[in-house]
Amino acid sequence: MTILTSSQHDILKEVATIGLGNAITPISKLLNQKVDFCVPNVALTSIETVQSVIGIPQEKVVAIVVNISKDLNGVMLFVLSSSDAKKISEKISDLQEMVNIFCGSCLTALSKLLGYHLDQSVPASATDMCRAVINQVVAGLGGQSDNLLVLNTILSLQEDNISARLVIIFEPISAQKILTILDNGPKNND
Amino acid sequence: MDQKITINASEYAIGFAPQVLATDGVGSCVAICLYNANKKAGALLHIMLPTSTGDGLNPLRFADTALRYILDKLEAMKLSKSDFCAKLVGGAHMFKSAGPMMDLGKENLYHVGRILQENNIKIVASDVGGHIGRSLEFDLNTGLVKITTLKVE
Repeated sequence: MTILTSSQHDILKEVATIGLGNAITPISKLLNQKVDFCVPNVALTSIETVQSVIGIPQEKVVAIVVNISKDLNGVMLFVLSSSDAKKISEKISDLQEMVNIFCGSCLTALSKLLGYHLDQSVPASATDMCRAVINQVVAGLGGQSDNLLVLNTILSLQEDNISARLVIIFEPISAQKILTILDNGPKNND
Repeated sequence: MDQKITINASEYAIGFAPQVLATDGVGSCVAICLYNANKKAGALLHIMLPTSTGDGLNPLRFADTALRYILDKLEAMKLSKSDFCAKLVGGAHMFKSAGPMMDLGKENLYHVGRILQENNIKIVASDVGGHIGRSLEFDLNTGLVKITTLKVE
């Protein structure tokens, strides 16, 4: 497994802060309340250790996943306890649509920062044991290497006392592409 | 003394009665319970992917290398594979719509089944497929596998 250099780690944290931070405004608007997020945690990890890196405490979760593709491949995951998901569905009818919207904002920001085109799939959702869901998602991404890139933050919705994990995971080849950009500067985007 | 041994994905356990081997988070993964009724010995694997393509990867992550690993280990302990039967759990697809890796659970099940057959290990029970996550406890005293799932609302 490769380790992030101190410089890569710092730049990634900034990239993650801007990228993931772009979820805040859409969510805040849709749910009509203040949304905070913590400084993202960034790491290179194997598929087995992703869960301990993300650190989701709940057993039963609603997980919504969007596939990222085109110049980079990966997933965006929005995960919260099933009880918190219920609270949100009292306010908006379509949680997947909300994820669809803010994922677009995040990927647009990341595209600009990294100089790569990013497409997103239609979201898919699962309500079940956290570990089982995440195992499936990561197994598909990076079994033949131990270097997935994980960007992870916790969103807090103040008024409804809801907390959710927002995670982006890039598969190993894409992770390497990103690290190369961090070391050498963004690729020119025509 | 704690008789329950819990493993995570890409790990293994070998034990004897009255131990209980356990694992959770079995979604598209396949948990393989191997049981030797005569010696009341058992092994538990929790594989995530069907086949390995490279060196330097955790062999327990993949059906092919994990089964080879565990059968070699059992052989070294003088526990012949001909005395073992298998029970399978998992190979589900967790997402309601297409979602990521649609066929991963199916692929895992196919390769696990194929390799067990190549080794003449009979599958005597299975709780597989569907759209549900599973946890299990494998009791080496009886050979029984107790499966837990979350209540669906």
